[in-house]
Amino acid sequence: MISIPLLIVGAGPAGLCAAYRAAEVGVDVLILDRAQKPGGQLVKQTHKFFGSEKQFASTRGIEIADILFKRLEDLPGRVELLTDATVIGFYEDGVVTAEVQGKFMKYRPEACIVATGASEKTLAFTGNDLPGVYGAGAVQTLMNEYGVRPGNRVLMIGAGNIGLIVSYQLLQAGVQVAAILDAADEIGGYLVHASKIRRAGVPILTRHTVGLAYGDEKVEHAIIHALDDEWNKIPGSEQQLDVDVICVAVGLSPLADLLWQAAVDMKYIGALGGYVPLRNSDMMTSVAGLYIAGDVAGIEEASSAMVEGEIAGISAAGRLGFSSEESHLLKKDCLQQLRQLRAGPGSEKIRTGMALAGAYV
Amino acid sequence: MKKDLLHIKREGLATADDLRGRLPDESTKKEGPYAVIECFEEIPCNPCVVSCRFDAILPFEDINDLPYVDFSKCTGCAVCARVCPGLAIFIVDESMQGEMGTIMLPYEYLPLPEKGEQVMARSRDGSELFPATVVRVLKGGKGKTALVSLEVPKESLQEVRAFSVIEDESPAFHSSETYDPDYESPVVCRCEGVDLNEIRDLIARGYKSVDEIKHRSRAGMGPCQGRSCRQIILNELARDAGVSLDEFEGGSFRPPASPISMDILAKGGEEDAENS
Amino acid sequence: MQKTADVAIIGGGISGLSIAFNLAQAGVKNIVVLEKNFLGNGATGRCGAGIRMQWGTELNCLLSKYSCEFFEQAQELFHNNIDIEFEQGGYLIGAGTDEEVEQFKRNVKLQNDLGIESVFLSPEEAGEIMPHLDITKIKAATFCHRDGHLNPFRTTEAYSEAARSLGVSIYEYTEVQDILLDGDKLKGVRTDKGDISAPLVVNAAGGYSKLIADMAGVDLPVYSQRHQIMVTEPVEAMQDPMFMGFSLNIYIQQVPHGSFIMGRSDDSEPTDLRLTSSWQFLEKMSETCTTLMPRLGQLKVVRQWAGLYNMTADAQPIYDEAPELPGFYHAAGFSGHGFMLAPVTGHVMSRKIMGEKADIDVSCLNVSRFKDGGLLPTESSVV
Repeated sequence: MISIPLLIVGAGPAGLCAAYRAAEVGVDVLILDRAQKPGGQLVKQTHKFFGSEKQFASTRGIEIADILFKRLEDLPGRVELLTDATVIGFYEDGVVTAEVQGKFMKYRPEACIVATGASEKTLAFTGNDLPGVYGAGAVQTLMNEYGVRPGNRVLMIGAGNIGLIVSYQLLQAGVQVAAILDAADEIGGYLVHASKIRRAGVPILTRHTVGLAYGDEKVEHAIIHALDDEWNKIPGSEQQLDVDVICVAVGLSPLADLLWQAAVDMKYIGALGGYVPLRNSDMMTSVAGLYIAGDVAGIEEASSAMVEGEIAGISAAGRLGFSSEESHLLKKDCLQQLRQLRAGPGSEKIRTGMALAGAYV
Repeated sequence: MKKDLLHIKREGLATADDLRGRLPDESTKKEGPYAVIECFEEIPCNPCVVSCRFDAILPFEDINDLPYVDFSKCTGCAVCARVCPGLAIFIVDESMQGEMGTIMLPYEYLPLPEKGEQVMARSRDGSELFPATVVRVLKGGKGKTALVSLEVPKESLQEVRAFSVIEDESPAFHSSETYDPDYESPVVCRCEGVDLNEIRDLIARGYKSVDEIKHRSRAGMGPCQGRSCRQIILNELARDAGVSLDEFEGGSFRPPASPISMDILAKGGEEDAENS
Repeated sequence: MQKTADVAIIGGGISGLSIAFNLAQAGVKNIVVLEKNFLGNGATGRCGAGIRMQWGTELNCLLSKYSCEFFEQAQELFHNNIDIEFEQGGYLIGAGTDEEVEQFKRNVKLQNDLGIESVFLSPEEAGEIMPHLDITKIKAATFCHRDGHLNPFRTTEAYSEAARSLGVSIYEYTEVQDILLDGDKLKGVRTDKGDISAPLVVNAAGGYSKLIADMAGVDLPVYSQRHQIMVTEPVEAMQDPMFMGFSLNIYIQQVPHGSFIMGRSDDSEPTDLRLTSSWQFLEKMSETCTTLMPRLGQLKVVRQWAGLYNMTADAQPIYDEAPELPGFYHAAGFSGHGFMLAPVTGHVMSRKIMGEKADIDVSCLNVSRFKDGGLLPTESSVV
């Protein structure tokens, strides 16, 4: 059993920013991440970020991961990051268990920030278990981390930011994208991403979905069809495409298993991606000392994940008795940044969702 | 959502309406290069306005504001085009004599074309327009997007928005084969191989919660503990009951959150001894 | 919801459903089963679902033999097509101490005398039945090939469907909040969905049976203790029998699905009705399992959970009418064996309620024995 002041679960944008703010005022921090290197989803993100300078706008995600990690050196608090370290249990005695590089470890943190991110939603269509059906995260990992093309011709399901960005990355890797489908009646992702894709000659079909994938033991063809306003298939609208990859990018759900285990109060908020933990403006859950940040607190962009991470880091440090004169101002500024990031007309659902979840909007 | 965004939200294509007000007047066009910003959606993003050294992009009150160019100040320096994360800024120059002008396009594909190379100019929807000559290449790096300048007839400057280096055969949208589809029941729980019909059958028989369905069908009992199937089952339950998803319990989540071998668990006590 | 019933059974676990099924089969009309959650959500759906006849007391042998024989014919008795997955791969019970070796010899003699075909085995013979068992860790073993295990969810469904088809009304998500009395006479039950008047009420609430008895103001000397279980990823079939050890403190079976399910006892487990899990269990259980069966160490644990043992002082059930409140019946205190006893529970309780003689005399399993000093010899064959 190892007693520590602050445990952060997840070294993605939220976790790394939380660690920075906590260590900055002198808190010793342990970060555990199940991956082999820090950065979370940033390590797959080859596109430039939106937002403002404070959230590293115009910098590519992979570079942000480096920046966030490197700035953890030489802070007043010591930051230890363990990779290949999967947190697996939150128990009622306050013990957090993890498999760390092949060992079963138990930690007793005084405060904890859960920044576990999200998992991908799946889609039920015939043939969805054939080889060649991928989640968008897997396609990104293959291409952008390992330099492997998933196939030659892709059908993308989902025109949210992930579907659009991954389509663009596929094109950059020399993979054809046959079409992007979305069941909704409009493109969910940023229009500038959509326009980039259209310029490359890829059709985006709203009110469409995939009905079936088939082929000889792997995906070779897909049959798509149009949807009516009740989300039912429009008979006769079927079209057949020759593709060897179907990439599913139909949204994310907060990866909140550990928070369920910790028995925090959860609420289903569709606008935030599913069940999310209730929280206060400090990003603290209903369990005292247990904080959240990033997609696990509700699906948003990496920019808001970083700011939430900062808030959680400042708040957790404050709870542990560490703060500086600037802490209060810094938190206020972060809250203001969040408010701005969520102020646009496209963020209306996020604002409604966050209000239900108890967050400052 | 502003009403005039509806079309672009469906198609991802800007219409003439969207473009109105984004171009300088005819006399300004003749004075030198200028930036065309095709950014029509209020999202939290401000690198263009922050990067402009000439205050030629109207100041933002809010980070979600749309960028508008003050053409009297814009020099066409392309600094904004190199930082725009959306690749939505194009530099047009029609100030020179003759029929030809240039358009500078952000480009994130490899290989980067070389000066003098012939490429295929393409429109906003990717359709082929005509071959064009590369007249300038600004390499990318250090956070800057590569820019490629094409020589284009002046009347086509507001039409060209992309190009391709290799003249790939444009991928055929439809398949050549025909097939009589057999819509078998899709898989819902991959870990345990439970399909949608089985879930729907249990719901029809009165099973009312994620946990009940999990017990009876095993959906969600596998190593991933329902990360992929739980949402689909919730959707099915809600649809059947005609109520919203938040009326349902999320079901139980049990440790360990990811599988761990008994050999490793069994040595947990030894770790304690080492660390104490 | 209906306003009256002839019998109201509290608890939609396997015991309550079996009592309902037996009563309905015997011709009792207007039976309701009240379940605060969904059927089998309590200990029924959380247990190891093992069925064995190898016990150390005559009564337990007889009770479990009745149940085992019932499950062997369940398909015909239930008149439905639900496969309860009764896998009779036997129980292999390992002795860890010399005292246990002696006890096991006596057990086998007793079991054989009662017609239970168990055998006493050397460690080597046990190893032939279970090659992945480290036989140096056991001193002897017993084996009965007719023992086995069931799918608890399907068994629950088989019982509930059979009961429903005989006219039993089952109300799920219906919580009993009070026992209604008219002076000192039983009147019925109050639920969160309304009152039901019933002259006969059966307390089959498992881990929560004491709460129900308290509502009725009657004494039920039981307490509930948390017991934990864990399950591994599935692998190819490699272990037919349930393996069990009392001093070794383990039960472990490979279910038809391929995963291994295992549990153990721990005196320090809480008795406050909590259903949480502990990391200590994961460690200790893995240590016990990998010591006895080193090959299983590579298997990954995918889930752990907990349920409640409803315990009595002699680890034997209570089948009785409350002396203070005629018409109020207890079927409680199963001490971890309620699932396997369900068929006999249904039989003896239905006969008791109808005032008829049961096939097995269970009068010694009365509720008064804890006051009268009439405790039964404690069963040692328990985990």
